[in-house]
Amino acid sequence: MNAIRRCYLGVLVAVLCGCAASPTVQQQGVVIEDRSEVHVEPLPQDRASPESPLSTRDDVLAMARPTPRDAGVSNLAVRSLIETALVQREHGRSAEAIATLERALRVEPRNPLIWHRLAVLRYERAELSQAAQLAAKSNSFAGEEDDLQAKNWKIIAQVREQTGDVPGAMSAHDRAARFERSGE
Amino acid sequence: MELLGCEQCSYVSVLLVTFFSMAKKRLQKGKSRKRRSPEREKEKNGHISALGRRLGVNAVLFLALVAILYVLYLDSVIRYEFEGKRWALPAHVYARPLELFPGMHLTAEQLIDELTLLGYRANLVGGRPGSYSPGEDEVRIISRPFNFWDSDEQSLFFRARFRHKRLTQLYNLRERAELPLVRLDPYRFATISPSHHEDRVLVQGDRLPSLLVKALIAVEDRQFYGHHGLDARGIARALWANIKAMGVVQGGSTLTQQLIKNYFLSRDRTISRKLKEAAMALLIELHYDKGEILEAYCNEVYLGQDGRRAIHGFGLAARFFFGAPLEELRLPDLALLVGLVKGPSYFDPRRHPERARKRRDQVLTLLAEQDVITASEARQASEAPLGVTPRGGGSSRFPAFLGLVRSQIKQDYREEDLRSEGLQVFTTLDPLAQFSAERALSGRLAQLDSGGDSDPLQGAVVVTNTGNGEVLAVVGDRKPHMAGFNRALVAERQVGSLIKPAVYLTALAHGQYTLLSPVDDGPLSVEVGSGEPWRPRNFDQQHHDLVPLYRGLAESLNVATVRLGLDLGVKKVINTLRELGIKRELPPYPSLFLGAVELTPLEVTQMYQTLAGGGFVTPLRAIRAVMSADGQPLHRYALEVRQTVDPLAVYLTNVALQEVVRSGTARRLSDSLSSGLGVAGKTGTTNELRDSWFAGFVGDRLAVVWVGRDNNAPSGLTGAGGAMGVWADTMAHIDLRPLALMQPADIEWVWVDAKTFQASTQRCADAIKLPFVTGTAPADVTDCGANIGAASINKTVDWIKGILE
Repeated sequence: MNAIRRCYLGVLVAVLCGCAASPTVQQQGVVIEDRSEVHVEPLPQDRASPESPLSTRDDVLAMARPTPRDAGVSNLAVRSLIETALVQREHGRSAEAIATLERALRVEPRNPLIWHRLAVLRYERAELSQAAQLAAKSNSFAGEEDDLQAKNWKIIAQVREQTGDVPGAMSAHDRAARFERSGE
Repeated sequence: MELLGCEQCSYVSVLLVTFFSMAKKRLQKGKSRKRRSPEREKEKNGHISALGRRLGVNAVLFLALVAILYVLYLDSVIRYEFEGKRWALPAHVYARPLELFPGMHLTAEQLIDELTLLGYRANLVGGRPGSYSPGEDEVRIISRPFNFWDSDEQSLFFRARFRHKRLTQLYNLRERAELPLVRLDPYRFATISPSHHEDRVLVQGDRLPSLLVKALIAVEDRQFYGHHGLDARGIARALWANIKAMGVVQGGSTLTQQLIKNYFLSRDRTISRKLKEAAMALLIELHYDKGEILEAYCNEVYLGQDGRRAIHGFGLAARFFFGAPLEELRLPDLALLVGLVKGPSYFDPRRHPERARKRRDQVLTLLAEQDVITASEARQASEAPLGVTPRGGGSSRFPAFLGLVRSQIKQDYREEDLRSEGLQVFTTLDPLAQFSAERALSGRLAQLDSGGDSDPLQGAVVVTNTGNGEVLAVVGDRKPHMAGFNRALVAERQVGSLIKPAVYLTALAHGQYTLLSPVDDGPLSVEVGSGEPWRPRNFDQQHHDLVPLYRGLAESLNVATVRLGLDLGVKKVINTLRELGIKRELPPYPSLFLGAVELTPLEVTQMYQTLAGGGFVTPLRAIRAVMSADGQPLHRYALEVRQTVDPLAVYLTNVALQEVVRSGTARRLSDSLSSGLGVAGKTGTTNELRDSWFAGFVGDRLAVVWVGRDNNAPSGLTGAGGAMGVWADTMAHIDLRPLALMQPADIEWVWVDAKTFQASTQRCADAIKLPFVTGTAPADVTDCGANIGAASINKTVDWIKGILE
C-alpha cells in the first residue's frame, strides 16, 4: 500500500513540477483503479452520439486527474491540500477528499480550481445537481481562465444530459466549445 | 435464564450447589440430634417434628433462594451500572481547528490566545505535546496529535514566524523542513450531557498515565492487585487507626468498593449498606479484571463540582482544573488530583488552595515513602505552584452557538444519542470571532444603557464565512454566557430597511432597470382596501423628486422604494426573498417593501449570505462532521451551493450596498473601520426606533446585528446608531479581507451624471462611475450636466412622468 502511495506521489510531484512526464505517462500513471466508487450509470444518449464533438462522461472523469496547470496554484497550503485530496480520491476515499478540498477552500475561498475539483468529485459520487452547481460557482470565479470555464461547462452539460435536459445540455456544450476555442 | 450470560450461569450453579449442600448438612445435623432425643418425646411429637422438619428444610431452602435471588439482583444491578456507565458518554462539541499556513493574517498574540484556549503550556521543557514557547516574532510549538474526520494529524514540533501581522513561515524543527500547513487540535467548548448533569472525558485504560495509576494505588489501595474486592488487612488497619483516634479518620475501602460507592453515591454509613457494598465488590471482581475495574474507577471517581455539573473521572478533572488532557499532566498535577479523591470539596484547589497544596504535598511524601518516586522528585514537585486554571474549562462557554448546533444536529440524531453515545461533534465555531462578537455586543450596549432597567437593551450577532456558509459566531444575549433566550435564533423582529436590497435586486433582475434608472421619491399614497390610504414617508420626512435607483438604496428612501416595489409587484419581490433563502410565509402587502415582516437575525443572515455569495444560496452550517466516540466518521455536512438569483443583478445590488457604506446611511462606518475594506452593508430601523439592525459583509466575513428590547419598546436607536457600532466592533477584531466583488463578464463601468441620468466623463466634478450590464448604459452624453444635455433631461423627465401618470 505504501509503495503504491509513494508511486502516486511520485507521479503527482512529477506532474505538478510540469517536468519530464509526457501526457501519456500521466494518463497511465494516475490510473483510477477503483471504478466501483463511480455510481453514475451512463444514460443511452451518452454513448449514442459518438459522432458528436461533445464532451462525454469520461471527459469529466478525466478531469479528476492532475494537470500541469495545478502547479499554478501559488498558495503552498492549498497546493498540499489539493495533492492530499488527489491521493485520498485515488484510494477510494472521495468523501475525505471532498472534506480536504473544503479545507483548501477556507484558505482560498475564491480559487476556481478548488470549486471545480469539488464539482468533479461530486459528479463521481453521482451527486449530479451539486456537481453542476459547484461547476457554476467555479465559473463565477474563473474570470479569464477559459480552459477551466470550458471544463466546468462540460460538467454542466453532462449533468443536464443525464437529467434529461437536452436543450440545456446542448447550450452548455456550445459554451464549453466556445471557451475551448478561445483558450487555444 | 436466557438473559444471563454463560459466565453468570456457571456462577449461579456454583451458588446453588453451595446453598443446597449447606441445607443438606443442616438437615443431617437435625436428624442426628433427633436420634439422641428420648423415644417418648418422639412418639408425642412425631407428627409435629416431621412437620417442623419439613418446614425447617423448606425455610432454609427458601432463605437460600431469597439469598440467591438477592445476590443475582445485586449482580445484575452492578453489571448494569458497570456496563452502562462505561458507555453513557456525553457528546463533545469542538470548535473549528485553527489551520496555520504561511501568508495568513495572524499575529503571534492571536496564535498564543488560541493555544491558551487549547490549554497549551507556555513551557517547552520536557518536550511534551501541548506546549509552546514564545520568542521574538516567533512561537515554537509542540502540537497535539488529533484524529480528524478526513485524516489524522501527528504531533509536530515546529516554529511559526511572524512579520507585519502575518504568519510568514512554518518550520518543522524535527525534520528541518518547511511546512505548508499545520492544523492544530480543536478547542472542545461544550458537552451535551445526560440530564443528571454529569460530564465525562473518557480515558481508556492503556492511556492512563502509569504514574497516576501507581499513585492512586499507593494512596488509596495498596493491595489492589492482591485482593478480591475487599482487603481485610486494610480494614483492620483502618479500624485500628479509627479506634486510636476515637473516630473515623481512615477508610478501609478498596478501590473496588469506592467504585461501587461512586456508582450509587449514597452517603449513609449503615452496616447493611456496607455489606451490600462488600457483596457488590466481590461480584464485580468476579466479572471484571483489575484493569477494567481500574479504568472504570478512573473514569467514575467524583473529583469536583462546577455549578450543577459534577466532575467525574480524571480525564474531565484534568480539563476542569488544568485545562489540558490527562496525558499532559505532570507529577505535581497528578498528585493534586489523586489527593482530591479523599475530599473533592474540602480540598478544592480553587476554593481552598492552601488545603489542596498541603494534601498534594502529603501525597507526594507518601509516594516517595513507597518508592513510587524519588525523594528529590517529590521535593521538586512540592515546590511547583498548584497550576490550576482560573475557571473551569470545558463547560459550555458559548450557549447561543451551541443552541444552533443543537437545532441543526437534531435533524439527524436523537437527543438520547447525543447524551449517551459520546459523539464528537465538529462545529464551525471560530472562537476568535465569537469572543470579538461577544465583546462588541456587551461593550456597545453597556455604553448605550447600563443594563439595569427592567427591560434593558438586548441584542444578537451572527457572523459567517461568506465563502462556504459556515457560521463562525452566534451571540444571543448581551450577557453571552446566559443560556436563556437565544435571540439570534428565535427573536422574530421587524427587519425594516434590511429588506430593501430584495426590492432593488428584483428591479435589477426582472425590471428594465439599471443603477442609474430614475425613481420618483415624491409624495405617494397607496390605496389599501377600504381604509385610509397608506402614505409612506422617508425617515427624514423629506421628499426628493427623481433619484437614480442606486441612491434610493444608498439613502434608504422609503417612498422611492415603495414606488419601485409597486411597479415590480409584491409577488416578484416575495419570490426574490425566497430565492435569497427566506423560507417562511411572507405577507403579500406593499408594506413588505419597507420590511414590515418579522424575521430572526439568523434568517436575515441567510438572506445576506446569498448576496455575499454572488447569487448562490449556501445553507448556513454550524456543523462540519460528526464522529463516533472511537473516531469512526458518521456524518459529514458537505458544502452545498445553489444558484438562485441572476449573478449580474446581484453584482449591481452589491455595488449599491457598497454605496450605502461609502456615501449613504452607513457612511459613518468608515469612522471606525478602514474604508479600504469596501464594506457592502445595509442599515435597518423600524417604526419608533424599536429595532436597530445592521447587515454587512466584506471579502470573507458577513455579520448581522440586531439591537432592541425584548418587550418591543422603543430602543431610541437607528440602525446606524446602535447595531452598526456593534457590527464595526465585531469586525474590528476579526481578520478581514477587503471586498472585491467578482465582476461578471457582461459588466461595463461607465462614467455618469446622477442629476441628468446621462453618461458623463471623468473630468466632470459630479460624475461617478457605475457598472451596467453591457448595452444598458445611457446613450446620451452630458457635458458635466450643462446645456447640451438639457434637452434630453427634459425628455427623460417627461418620459418618466408619462409612465407614472
